[in-house]
Amino acid sequence: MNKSLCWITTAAILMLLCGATTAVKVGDVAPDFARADLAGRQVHLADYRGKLVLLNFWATWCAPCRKEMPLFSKWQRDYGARGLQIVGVSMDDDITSVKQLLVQRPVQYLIVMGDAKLGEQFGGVLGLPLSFLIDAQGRIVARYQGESDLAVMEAKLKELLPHH
Amino acid sequence: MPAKLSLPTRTCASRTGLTSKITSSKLSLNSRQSAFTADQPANSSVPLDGINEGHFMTRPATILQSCILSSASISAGIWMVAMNPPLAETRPVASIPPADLIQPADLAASLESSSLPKPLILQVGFRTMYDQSHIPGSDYAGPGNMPTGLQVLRDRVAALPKDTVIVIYCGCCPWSSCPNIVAAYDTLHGLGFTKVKVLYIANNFGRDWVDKGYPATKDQGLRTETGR
Repeated sequence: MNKSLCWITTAAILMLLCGATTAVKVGDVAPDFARADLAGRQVHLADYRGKLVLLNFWATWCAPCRKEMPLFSKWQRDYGARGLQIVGVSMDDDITSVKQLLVQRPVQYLIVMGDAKLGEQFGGVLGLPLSFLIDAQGRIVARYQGESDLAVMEAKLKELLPHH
Repeated sequence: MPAKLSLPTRTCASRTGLTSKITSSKLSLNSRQSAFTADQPANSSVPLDGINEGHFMTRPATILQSCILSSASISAGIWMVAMNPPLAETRPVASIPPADLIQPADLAASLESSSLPKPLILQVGFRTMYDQSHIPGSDYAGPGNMPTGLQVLRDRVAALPKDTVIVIYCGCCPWSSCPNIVAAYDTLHGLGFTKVKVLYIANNFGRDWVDKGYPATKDQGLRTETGR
């Protein structure tokens, strides 16, 4: 018992020293988190169990991210009633620039502020944009890194949404 | 005579592509537009309470109120712009001379070499990314897209000889979209640094550095001055 505890502790220390992050994979349950939205309300990822969640890491300085935003707004409008919830996690260093951008370019989905710790929970957000599709059971079903083919992403989420 | 560090480079002009121009639109000072609640379309027309035509003509108190509100909004807008002035439009990333680029494999090899002096490595991207993972020994000196970030960079190199070998990197976004690297590169050149190299990261730091197994850390310990 003590020996295994010792191994676990050693492994954890080594991981911390190496800066390693445990990469979340497709098929894993998405790590839960609680973050405040821009109005200060707490948003828990787990609150959206039962919905298909598109978790999108983005930032105001990321040109490809800004390109995705109008389409994500459209998807939220078109598929929200069928159970889609888009959650944008801003990786900006400060909230002011996020608020400024969203005044100019409002979006139709939830925005929360992220940080390095949240990035690490998702295996390290070391390039943007980065999106995860999370199913109704909270499992990651797809991961999209970088400039993705949004038609492919939309086809995937349509396939996962319940058909009326 | 300082020892010179020769960092191997490979040209990659054909892979750099052109930067998409980002033109910032004017800041709207409409304080009533609650963008981030996401319930209201951008172009929706929201009647302004008490400032519609009928009331505007008949209620002097409302006129005064709206004047005060407008002045406050304008002042807030001016303050925001003053605190964070936009940078002048920068050159495309592709305009960095290929001879000043260094490939990840080459930088990683030079870091592992015990015989070569190590360059000063500066991450000029965003803090949240640096805090998650960065090149061991590299310092944070950004972001290059903000005047405050460029001041951090200036302060970091202020005491260094102009022949210091400096490698800057970002990796926040695909190479052609990087908002930081050109401004940081130009700043260092403007300060007179003659041996500035830019780490060519095609996609992002995760894919082109960490996933390739090159050394990365979260450690933010102090480093000793090198780069000469």
